Amino acid sequence: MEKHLALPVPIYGYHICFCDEKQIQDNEYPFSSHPDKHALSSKLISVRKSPIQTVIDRFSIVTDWYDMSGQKARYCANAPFASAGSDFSWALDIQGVMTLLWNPSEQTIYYTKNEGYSQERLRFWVYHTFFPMVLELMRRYTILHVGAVEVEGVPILFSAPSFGGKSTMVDYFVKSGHTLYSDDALAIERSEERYLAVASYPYHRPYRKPEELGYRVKTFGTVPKMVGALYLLDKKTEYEEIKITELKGIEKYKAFHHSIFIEFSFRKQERFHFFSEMARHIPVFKVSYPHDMQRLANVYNRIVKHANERKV
Amino acid sequence: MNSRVILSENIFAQEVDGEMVLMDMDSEDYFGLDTIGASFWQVLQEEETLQKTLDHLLNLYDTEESVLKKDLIEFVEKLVTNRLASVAEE
Repeated sequence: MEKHLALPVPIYGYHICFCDEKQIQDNEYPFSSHPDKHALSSKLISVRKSPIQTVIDRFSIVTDWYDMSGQKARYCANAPFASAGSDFSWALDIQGVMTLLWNPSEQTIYYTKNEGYSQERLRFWVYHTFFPMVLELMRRYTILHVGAVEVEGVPILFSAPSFGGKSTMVDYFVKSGHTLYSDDALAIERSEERYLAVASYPYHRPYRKPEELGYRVKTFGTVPKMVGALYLLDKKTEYEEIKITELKGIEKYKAFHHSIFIEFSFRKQERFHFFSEMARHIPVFKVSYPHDMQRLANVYNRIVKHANERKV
Repeated sequence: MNSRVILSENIFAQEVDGEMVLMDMDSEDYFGLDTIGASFWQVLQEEETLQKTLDHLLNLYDTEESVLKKDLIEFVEKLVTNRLASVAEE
């Protein structure tokens, strides 16, 4: 059934209220005037303007600057990130743009504006980067750097190296009417031996412009669902035949390992166990396909047929 | 053959589809062992010396001792080269 976006859609399974940015709020979620009374208030995250302009001064640990989405950003906290848990407060300082601070007790993201601030950038950094990091540090989910769409009600994941065609593939599926689960970052909720795909945000950017979410999609995955398979995209020369082969063992593990979204070094061990366990339960297929846009429809058809045949 | 093979403490191992995936936690390099290599790895974890490992493997595989010994030594050399193990002479 098609899911139109007239109602608020969950972002990584949560409802996000941009309390002090009415324009974003009106565009994103037509909440009533009292979002705290929303039926899903227990999973409501507030995004509010900070009453204090210099939040960085409150932190004893401030890292070096890292390249992030075309900007320089640094992490701030009062305890090592390795000790992060559900009550861990921390901040991301995006140089010259804004600082985002996570307050776990209030379930609130506070922001301070710098000269490069805009509402679009706030939405981008919250959806694309900061909130998934919050969720990963809370151990709520593991975030994968994959595209994901539904085929006959089952989420399938696309992984590829940079410029490997992931966005192009997701774009083709979305424009063919498939429900989007992830443009770039998919949350995985593990429950014993089940791996649920939790959709990220209802935007897709076919071209990787930094700090842009892209266009809003018509159908978006509002319900977490079991992951069907991971397809590793392997773009070849324009003359290559389309071939789908199942990966096993180390090759399968590598497909997950290369899909790390956030490289927190202190999570190496956790990640290894998570991905190797996931590799034991989720099938992985390599799609070798020609670098030829004229044949993209053929690639699409092969993947859809393959995914459907696996269900039978 | 009385040497002890000491597997690195910084290695994590997990079986996937009958193969063994090894991860060096320092370098984050990863390695794959096929089903035979995975079996060698497991027996090396259990036995004290190379000779006891060989004896154990001879019970598992119906093959010439000289062939198995050569395979085991080559396997251990590869582990040492990739810093996954060290050998202590007795």
